[in-house]
Amino acid sequence: MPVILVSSDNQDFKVDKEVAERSILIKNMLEDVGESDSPIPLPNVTAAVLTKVIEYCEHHRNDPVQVPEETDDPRKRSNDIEEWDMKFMQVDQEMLFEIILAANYLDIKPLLDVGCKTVANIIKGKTPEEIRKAFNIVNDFTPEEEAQIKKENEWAEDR
Amino acid sequence: MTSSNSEAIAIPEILQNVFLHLDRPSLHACARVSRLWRSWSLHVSWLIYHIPSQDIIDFLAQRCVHTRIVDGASERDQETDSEGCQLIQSKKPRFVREFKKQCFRIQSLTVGDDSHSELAVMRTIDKDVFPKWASALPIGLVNLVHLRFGLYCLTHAPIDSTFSADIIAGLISQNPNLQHLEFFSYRQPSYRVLFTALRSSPLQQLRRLELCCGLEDNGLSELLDLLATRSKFEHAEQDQERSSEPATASWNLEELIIRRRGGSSFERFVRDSRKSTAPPRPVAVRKLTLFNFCLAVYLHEQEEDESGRFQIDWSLIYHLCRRFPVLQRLQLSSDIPIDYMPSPVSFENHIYSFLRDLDEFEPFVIWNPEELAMAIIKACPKLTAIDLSHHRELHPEDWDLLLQHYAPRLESLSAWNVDQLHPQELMRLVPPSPTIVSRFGVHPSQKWVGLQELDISANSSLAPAIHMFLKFVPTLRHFKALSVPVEANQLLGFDWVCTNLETLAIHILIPTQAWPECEIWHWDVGKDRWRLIGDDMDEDEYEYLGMDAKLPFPPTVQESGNGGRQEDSSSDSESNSTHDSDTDTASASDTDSESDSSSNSDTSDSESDTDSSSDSEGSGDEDSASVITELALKRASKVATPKKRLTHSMQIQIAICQQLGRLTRLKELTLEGREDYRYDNKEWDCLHLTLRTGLDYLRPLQTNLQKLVIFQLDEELCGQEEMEWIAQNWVHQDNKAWQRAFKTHRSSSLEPPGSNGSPAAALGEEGVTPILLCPKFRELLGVSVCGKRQVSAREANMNAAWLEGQCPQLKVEKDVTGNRESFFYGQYQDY
Repeated sequence: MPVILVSSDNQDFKVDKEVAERSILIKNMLEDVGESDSPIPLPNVTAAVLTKVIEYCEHHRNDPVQVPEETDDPRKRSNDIEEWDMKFMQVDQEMLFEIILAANYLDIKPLLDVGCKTVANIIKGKTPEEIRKAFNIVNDFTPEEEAQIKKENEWAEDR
Repeated sequence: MTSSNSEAIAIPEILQNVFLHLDRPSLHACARVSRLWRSWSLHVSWLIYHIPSQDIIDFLAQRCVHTRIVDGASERDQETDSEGCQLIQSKKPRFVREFKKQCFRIQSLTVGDDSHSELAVMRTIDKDVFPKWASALPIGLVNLVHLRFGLYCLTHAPIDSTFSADIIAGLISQNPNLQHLEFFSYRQPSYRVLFTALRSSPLQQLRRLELCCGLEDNGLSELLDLLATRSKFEHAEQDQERSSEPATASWNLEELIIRRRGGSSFERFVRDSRKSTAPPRPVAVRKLTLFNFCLAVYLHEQEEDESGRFQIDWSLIYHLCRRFPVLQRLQLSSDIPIDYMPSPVSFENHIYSFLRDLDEFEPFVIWNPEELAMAIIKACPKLTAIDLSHHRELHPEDWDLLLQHYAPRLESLSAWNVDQLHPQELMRLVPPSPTIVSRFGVHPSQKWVGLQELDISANSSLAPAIHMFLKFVPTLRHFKALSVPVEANQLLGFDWVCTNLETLAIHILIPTQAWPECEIWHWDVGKDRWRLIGDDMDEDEYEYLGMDAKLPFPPTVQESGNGGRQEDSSSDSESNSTHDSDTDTASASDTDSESDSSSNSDTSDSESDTDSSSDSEGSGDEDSASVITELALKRASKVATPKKRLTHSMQIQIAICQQLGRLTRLKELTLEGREDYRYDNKEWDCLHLTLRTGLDYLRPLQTNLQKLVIFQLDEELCGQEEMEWIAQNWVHQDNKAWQRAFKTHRSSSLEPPGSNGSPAAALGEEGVTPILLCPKFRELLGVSVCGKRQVSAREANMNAAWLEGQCPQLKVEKDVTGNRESFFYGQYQDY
């Protein structure tokens, strides 16, 4: 049975229920509404982003559902990204963050994890200044704070 | 900055999620980006913390100084607070201060040492001068979700044991949200310290409890009674009885792990359970793991009955199962596989070096057949994962009953080193073929959950069943059959359906020539199970199934997606009408009977397979010859050596590599095999993993392969071309800069890059800085550098070193062992 999703720019997307329910938000909405043909509005997700999200969910429609307890354990994180996911995430930075925001809103944890791993890979190996430049972040430390933090990091690495 | 960037990064959950994937140096860099980033990077970097044994005094203790004051004729002791631990600290004070300041962030804490197999003694300093010291836990250490306590105290140091007991009790009492608790101890602190702490602390979130300590005397009974008191079974009863006593906080304990250590004996538990007239108190645990308990310890005084057997209620397994009615995973075996690292010592020899107890008490099946299996089924009907490895308590009939009952829901079976498990019983887990189902209609196996994990290592008698799993169990994700040699002929003739495999460990015997003998399974409709052809059959039936059919050579190449080609058909079709077996004809489709699949004598018109391996013996159709030529030409452009005649062994190796190359989800691959191996007047070979013997067919594994283990394989991977191939196809397949540099270098020189210097420098000669992307392939373990045929030991070492230089993240472990250790292959025993 197909489900109709409506993006923030009023574009309709017809997807299989099984695919749509990769989103816990949508799954819960469908359970609350019951059997209904009403389209589901997604005011926080544009059509372009929703297209990508649906593509991801289609590809992973048969994946086992992740157990929340296992994924919340900080000791069990893996940095592996499957090849398909890696290619899927080869988008510009704006789209990358849009996908992350959409995955967070729609509660699609595997997609959120892949997005965050991708961002982490961008960060790795960069200096603080390079990170700021990459994400356009303003340095709000005072010079004294910066010196203190730098000192703390030195002996922390020396530990 | 785009709004989505700022918005995403500003959401704490997202920022934390990103930081959780960063290593410590990256976290330190993030801590200097901005105030928000600092806050969250600090949070993440403190989530997991380890206090080694040597540092416990610094972080979790305070020193109490006794001063003797002589006042006239009296003396009195005055206890004064210490200044903290500064005077005896080895750690700098700022570390301790920072720890006390940030410890509220810690969610996962390890106190003591990570490895439970090592004894780690707490540091004690100046005990004579400062005889008394006490635990002093930081007040902020209250948010633990996971606690691992691994502290070992010597019995002659009671001060240490009291101190450590205080620490564990204090940590448990001030962390009510603990979900995972691990307690490792040797003698002291005693398990009673832990049990006392557990009785007095609510710990309502506790889901997993792991113990590695002595449980002497009545320890096991005490533990199970404690768990029963806290389990929801007890609470349901209390509610019904409307007990006036205050309700005890219940646990939703999912998993219990007990590793036997030291003087653990469960004899008293068994004796008490036998004597008890009250029904066993149930424990609501779904996963039970019991490692390293020995039957002989508690059975030395058992009483035999008239038949020489023992009563089933002497079985520890029997009494344990009765305590866990909702069990889903039952694991009663040894923790050897957890500690076993790939090495020149085979897994089988590793077992025998550590676990000789079973050999000493062989034979050791002491109950009546099926008795124990029926008890397990009755007590734990919902099992989905079974690990009874290294056990001798179960008859083959027990295994047959267990696997028949649990097959529909079984997801995992581990039965390494279990001599009583035979192929016939194991085949209970293989559903009938699609051909049989389409012929006879819906079969219950279509609703099976599907086996995902199977470990049958160190039981060579199970070799005849291996290919059936590769053929008919597509749900397999982890398959281990170390030290179980399987003939390559049995693995060919069909496409392996288990393309979801992530872990594969297999020992393949490559025949050096075509032999007609093979084993065939057929589906017995009447008995609804697989049977070996030859079992309970007369000679006429045996001949009908074409056991003596000539099996020509070579095998055909499998096209991707092909349902596989089959053996001779005419005799099979006649046999169908003569007995209940549904051995399928092979005229146009798969059969469910298995024969040596290198046979190709009656290739039907429907066959689209081509033989890629033989251009010398004239077999195979014309299409195959052109394919072979094309492949050979491609290789010829790389290989200067003249094309040589491919032997039977080489062609089989190529066919096997073709099948392995289809397993694109593989993350870990372990291959075993020996060359020049002779048994029963037959000569066997192994996979050599050279370009001439099919290495290139493994290229698709670049998608996910992380580890290749070949310690027990007589491979020849150390050649220059093979090492270059690995670098090109498994390391730098996406690194265009590297590929360009390599191609340029190769075209200008036949010497391996870097042979006269640093590989990276050599590749950088063209002015292109190689961008070393992080490949998935991280470990190549056991590549032989002793020198083989065309490659000397010196060259092998050079080639391996070159490969190591191509990727800093790649771990290359060399096997310098010249001669293989002896091993036991059952019927393939090496004399």
